Amino acid sequence: MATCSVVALAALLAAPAGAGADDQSPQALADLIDRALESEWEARKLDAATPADDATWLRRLSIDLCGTIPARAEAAAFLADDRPDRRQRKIDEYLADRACAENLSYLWSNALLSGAQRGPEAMRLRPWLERQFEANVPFADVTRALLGSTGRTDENGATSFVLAYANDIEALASVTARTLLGVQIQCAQCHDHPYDRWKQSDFNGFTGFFLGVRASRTSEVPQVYRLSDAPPEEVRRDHLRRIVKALRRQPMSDGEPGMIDPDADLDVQIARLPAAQRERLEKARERQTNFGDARFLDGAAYRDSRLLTRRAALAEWVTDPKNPWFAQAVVNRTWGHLFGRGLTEPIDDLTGSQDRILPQLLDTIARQFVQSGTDLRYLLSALVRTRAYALGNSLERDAEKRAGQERWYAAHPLRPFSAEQVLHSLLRATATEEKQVPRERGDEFEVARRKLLEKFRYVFADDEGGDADRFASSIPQALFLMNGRMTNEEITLRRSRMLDEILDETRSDRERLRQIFYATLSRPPTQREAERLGRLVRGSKGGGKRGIEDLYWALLNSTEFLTNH
Amino acid sequence: MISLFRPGLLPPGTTTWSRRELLGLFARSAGAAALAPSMVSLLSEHLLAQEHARRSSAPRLILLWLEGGPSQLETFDPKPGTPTGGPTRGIATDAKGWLFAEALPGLARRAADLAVIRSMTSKEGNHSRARMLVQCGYVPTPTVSFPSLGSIVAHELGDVQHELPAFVQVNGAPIGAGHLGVTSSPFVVNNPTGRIENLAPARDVNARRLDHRGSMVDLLDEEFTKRGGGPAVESNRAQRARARRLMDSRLLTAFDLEQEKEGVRDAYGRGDFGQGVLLARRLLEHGVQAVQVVLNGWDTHQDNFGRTTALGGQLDAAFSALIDDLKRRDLFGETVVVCMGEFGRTPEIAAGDGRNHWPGNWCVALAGGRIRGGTVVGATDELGQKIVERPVQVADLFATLAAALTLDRDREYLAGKRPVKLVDPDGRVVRDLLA
Repeated sequence: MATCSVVALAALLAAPAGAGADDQSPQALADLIDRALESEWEARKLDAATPADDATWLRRLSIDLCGTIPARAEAAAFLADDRPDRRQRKIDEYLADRACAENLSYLWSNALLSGAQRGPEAMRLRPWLERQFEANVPFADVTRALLGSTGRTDENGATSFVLAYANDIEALASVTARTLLGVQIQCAQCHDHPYDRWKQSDFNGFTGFFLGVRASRTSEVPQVYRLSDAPPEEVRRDHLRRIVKALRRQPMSDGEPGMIDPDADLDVQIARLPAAQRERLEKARERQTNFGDARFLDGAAYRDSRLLTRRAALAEWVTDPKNPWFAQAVVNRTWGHLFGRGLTEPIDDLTGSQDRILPQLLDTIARQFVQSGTDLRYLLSALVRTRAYALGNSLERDAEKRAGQERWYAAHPLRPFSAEQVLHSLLRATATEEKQVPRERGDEFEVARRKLLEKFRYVFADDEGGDADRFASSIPQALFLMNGRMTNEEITLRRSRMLDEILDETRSDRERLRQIFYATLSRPPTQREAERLGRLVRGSKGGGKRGIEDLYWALLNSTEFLTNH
Repeated sequence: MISLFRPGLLPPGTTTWSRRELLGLFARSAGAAALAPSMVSLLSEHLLAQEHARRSSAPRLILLWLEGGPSQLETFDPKPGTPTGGPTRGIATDAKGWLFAEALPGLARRAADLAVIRSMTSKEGNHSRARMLVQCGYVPTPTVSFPSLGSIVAHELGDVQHELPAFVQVNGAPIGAGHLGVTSSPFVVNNPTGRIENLAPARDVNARRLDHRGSMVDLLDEEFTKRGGGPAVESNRAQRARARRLMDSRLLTAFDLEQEKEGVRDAYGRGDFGQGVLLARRLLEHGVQAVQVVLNGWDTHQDNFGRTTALGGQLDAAFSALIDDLKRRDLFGETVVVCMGEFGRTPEIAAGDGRNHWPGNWCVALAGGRIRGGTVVGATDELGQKIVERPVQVADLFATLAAALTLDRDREYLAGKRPVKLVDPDGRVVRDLLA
């Protein structure tokens, strides 16, 4: 049956080439995706979940594109909108919103910086990304800047990426391959990859592109760093220095290069070494030749040139429309962000994955993405326009059946909030954004936000390396929401601006309840909720006013609030 | 009353009540509603603590984590009087004539209780990668999120129904439970002598109001379940119940160092580390399975000798007091104490009297449980530049710790799609370390 469906799918995917080939609209791509998925459901006898209602769809779209729940008034207005194209309008509105650019900047800077210590040299990466996304700069250009830029962090934030890893170019090579190519070469750092195609020489060759990276600090206050590249002859010395360091790290029985100081003049020191040690060093160098001579992952060799730095050459190769991985990696990550799971899982393992579905579909979307000029907005727009994106959650009780529906996108999964999403949604639901450092303050905002996010990352157990689909909450999270300041102090009648506004606007208890629901869950209460919660509000000790606080608290502590569903 | 916020649910499928469950239930109900304060006084805090300490025979773990890469030459493998040894003098221990660095006089006197590995070796010289390697036992890879040792112990040996978290970390940034899931991740205490964040109800909120609010949450969660939110609701509900139980727990006195005699508090050292180690001992007595206490500052690129003297003093006092205390309380035999950092430091002394990163040879000290005291494994050459006897990889250390902690090292978990053994199968147990 699997073969059958592959053939059927191939036919489907081939269709647009004949008929509507020049229809480059996001909707055309969305329709193509839906046809591919629907034929798969049919072949696998999967029932699709009921489509999500407007409120659920809006909340999902807002969280996915703008990183936060919709504002209270916005949710109410959308539900009152009866224009047939209201969803299309909302998609366009969100994609053009600054919040969408900010959201994407978190997504990508988290991916690019994972594992690196997030020091001050990396601070300007996220704001720089935000500006690129806001101007909808083609993603290939963004990537070229990330990989090839030189200069000061305050003049070109793109340099922050390489600077964050300047002391660990193996990590830089690995994160570049993983994030921008969806290729896991790091396992080949120590040995040839057990089940993927990558060899140690691939890793060394790829790492070679980052040899010669130079970082320096040019100013203390504000902290500014400079990224540059050494000339080719110094790159050779870098290489040698690394070999010496690597040799020194290993416990060896004999003949190790004694007391060589990798930071002093190497040639002089090496010349002074006893013959046996010198020989050993030469051997080690031979073994690692590829490390010194950069090589592309498709096997093509690279020759040093004075016209183009190694990094710039790499940037050109990565973003070349013929590169087999770049567009797929971006598409699969974006798909994973919107649908909770990539077509290929893990999302950044295109070549070694044991869990990939509809590879032809991924390929087709990637080609369209390239054709659009690597336009991220086009890609996002197409994916959120699909009928699949607009499905409701699975109502299957059987965990396995539920998982099957979700894996094939026949139901939308429940997704726990990321640290950014919790923070931004809480700020919005409690109307406390303005108590934070304003965005206009640049570095100051960035430092304050990073500090706050660090805390949220711990409390909400947002683990970059973890499974995105695993739903798990922690005790610190429960304590934070139960007893923390944001969900207590900030929601009292005394302090809460949100409650102030609502009490001001509303005349009845029923309307009040409704508005607090809009502020937190972005939907009106169901009839049962309205009745029973209304009773509980009135039953609160100290009367209905305290009851309103209790309800507000309960909504923020509800599972629905903390879930992108 | 609504189930979600009622503390004290017994594990599903419980048919007989063990002593420990009865005690737990007793403690919970007493704390939650203050139903019978007089009953509580029947069992003094001490008795309660003792019972909890005995409730299971599974070994406990205390990990003293020396953050930054402690110098082996200034701790457990000094080379006095050599060009690499620097000004650090050795001090004779009470076991077989081996030397510790002079900053550790207390531990030198207790060497008969310690096992020291002088031949630890790895290839990770970068702080974050080495920290992952040495705390998790696997070479870090971005595709698998490995649990740290404390999380492993909590997951495998801890009691998930217990009121206190199974794994507590004092100070430092936690690594987490990785693929074992967030329920085994460390509960972090940032200040051992201060208040725990968010543990007390907010102003104007008491237990009754919290219950009232809880019933509203229950109602909302029920509705969400109907619309397909079930799996998320289950996880949140469980954690909220645990958080609530923790808030109400009688066992929270474990965190109250004021209950200790001044002399005991002094013996551990009054700094955050010393008090943290004392807290670790209290937590173990109250049923916590694993505690990690972090001592920062070992990244001595500058002023290595001055700084390691000060740090060594803190380590020596706390570790010595811990050994004495565990013995006095009859807990030494069931507690494995591990003292280590992410790597060692260069034998060569760099400019500014510093030592740089050196994963080539470094030390780990062990005590308690099945660890054979008075043991040294491995040796380095005269200048401490290379291992001349029995190199021990991190995987070997973890294989050994798994044996000491009675962990089933071959147990397989799925990290995403990848099957992963609890402990790196490449490791070989270092028999000499075990009694």
